[in-house]
Amino acid sequence: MNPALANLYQEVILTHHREPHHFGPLPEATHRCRLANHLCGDEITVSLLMESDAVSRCHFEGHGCALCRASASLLTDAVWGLSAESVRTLSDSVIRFLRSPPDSESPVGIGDLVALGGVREYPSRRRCATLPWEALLSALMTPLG
Amino acid sequence: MPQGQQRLQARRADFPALRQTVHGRPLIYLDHASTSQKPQVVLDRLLSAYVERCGNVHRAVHWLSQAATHDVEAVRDKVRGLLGAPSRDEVIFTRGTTESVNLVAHSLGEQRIGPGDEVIVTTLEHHSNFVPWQVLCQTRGARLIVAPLLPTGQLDLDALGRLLSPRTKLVACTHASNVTGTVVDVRAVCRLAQQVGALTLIDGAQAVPHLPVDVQALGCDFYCFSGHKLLGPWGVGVLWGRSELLATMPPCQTGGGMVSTVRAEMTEFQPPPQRFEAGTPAVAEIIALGAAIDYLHEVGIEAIAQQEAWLLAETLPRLRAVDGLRLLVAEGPQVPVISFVMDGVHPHDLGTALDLEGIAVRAGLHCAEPLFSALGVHGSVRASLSFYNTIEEVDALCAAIRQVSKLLR
Repeated sequence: MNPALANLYQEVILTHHREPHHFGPLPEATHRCRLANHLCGDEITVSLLMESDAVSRCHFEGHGCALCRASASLLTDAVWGLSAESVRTLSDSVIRFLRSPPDSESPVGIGDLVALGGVREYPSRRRCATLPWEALLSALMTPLG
Repeated sequence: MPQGQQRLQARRADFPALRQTVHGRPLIYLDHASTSQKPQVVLDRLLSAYVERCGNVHRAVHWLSQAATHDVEAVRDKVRGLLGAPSRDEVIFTRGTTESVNLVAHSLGEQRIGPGDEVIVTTLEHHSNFVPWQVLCQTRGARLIVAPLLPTGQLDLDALGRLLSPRTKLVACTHASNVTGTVVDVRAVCRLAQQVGALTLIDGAQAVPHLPVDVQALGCDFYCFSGHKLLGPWGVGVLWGRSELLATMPPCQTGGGMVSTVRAEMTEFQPPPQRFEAGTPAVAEIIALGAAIDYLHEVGIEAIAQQEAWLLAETLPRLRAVDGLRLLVAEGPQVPVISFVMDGVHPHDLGTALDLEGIAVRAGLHCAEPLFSALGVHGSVRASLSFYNTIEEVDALCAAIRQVSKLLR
C-alpha cells in the first residue's frame, strides 16, 4: 500500500470512521452546533449535555469524510467529563496542532488524537479534521432554549 | 487506435506540465474542467508578450504600445472566429466567465430587470451563473426561478417551456455541465426563450474546450467562456454579446480606456467593446489566449471533439465496471466531464488517495450546490479529460479506485 496513504489513514482513524463512537442525535442536549464545509459538502452537528459545568454526554451526527468522522468520533471520547474551560483548552490545542506545520511537535496529553496529525501534510484536508472541533467550540457558546 | 487518434495523443509532448511527477509518480491529470494544462506555445507567447509587447494598449504613440494593441485586437478577431460571431466589436475581454456573467447581470440586469420580472436559471448551473442572478433578483425585487432536470440529468425542456412567460426577462443556462458533462440543447432553450421575448446568456466555460461553437446558430444573446480552461492563461475570459444589446448597455466599471470625452460636468463613453473594458487589460494573457486559439485550430476543433467522444466511449464502460462505482446521472456525459460516487467511500477521501497515486481529480460539490441538492447527493469525484489523455491513464484511474476503495471502506 502507498505509505503516504497509510500514514494519513492510520488504523485508529479508519476504525473510528467505520464505527464512530457516540454517533447520532442527543435529544437532551443543552448545547448544539451544526457546521458545514461548503467545499466538500460535509456537515457535522455536535451536541453536548452539560451538567454542573461538565460534559456529561457528547454526540455527533451528519455526514463527512473518513477524516472528519474519525475526528468527530475521537472528539466525543475526549471531551467526556471535561469542564467547559477544559473543553476550550483542548479544542484550541487540537485545532492549533492540526493547523501547524507537518514536522512540528504534537502536543502532550491528546492521546489518539495524534493520529489526525497526518492531515497537516494536506492543507486542503485540514478543515475536514478541524470542522468537528470548530462545531464543538461554537456549541459551547450556543446554549439551547 | 486509429492513426488520427495517435496523432492527437502525441500532442501530449506539447504540454510541459504533463512531464512532471507528483508524490513520486508520473502525473495523470484528469482535472481539465477546473483548469486545462497549457501547451508550450502558449507559455512562450505569454513570456514574449512581456518581453516584446510590454507597452500599454490603446494609449501611447510608441511602437511597443502599438504592437501590443495590434496583437490584442488580433485576438479579438480570433475569438470572433472561434465563436462564429458576426462582429469583432461584440467580443469583450474579461477576467473570466464569472466576470462575464457579472458584467451582464450588473449592466443589463440593473437596466432591464425590476420588480415583478423573472430570471430563469437551471439546476445544472455553476455558482458563477447562478449567484449573480440570485443577487440581482434580490436587489431588484425580481424572482429567480430554477428550471428542473429530467431523471436522466438533461434539462427538462418541457418544464422550462412552462416556466417561461412574458415576465421572463432572461434565461441563464450552461452549454455543458461542469459536474455531469451533460450538453444542453442550447438552441432549443434559446428558441423557447425567444418566444416570450426573454434574453439568453449561455455559460460556455465547459463547452468551448470540447465542442465547435457557433453563437449565431445557437441563437443566444450572450455567450461567455474562460481562457484558462481553453489551454490559455489565467486571468482572461470573454463575453460575447449581440451588438444591438451591447450598444444600449451602460458600463459596469468606469475609468481609463473606456471614455471618449471627459468633462467636469459629464463623460461620454466609447462604444462597445471598449465601453466594457475599463482600465488596463491583461495584455499578455489576452495575447497568449490568441496562441491557445491558434493551437486549437492547428490540432483541429472537430478532431478534438471526435477524439474526446472516442475517449469518453472507452472510459465510461471502464468506470462502470468498477464495483460500487455509480455515475452521478443515469445518462452519461456528452463531453468528457465525468462525475461519480463510490459506495462507502467519501469523495474527498478518494480524491486524496488518488492524488497520492499521482492522479489529479476533483472531489466535492464542484461549485454547483443546487445541483447536488437536487440530486440528493453530498458530493462526487470528477474526472475530466482532454484530448491528449490516454486509455492507459483511464485504466490507471480505475485500478487506483479499486485499490484505495478497499482500504477506505
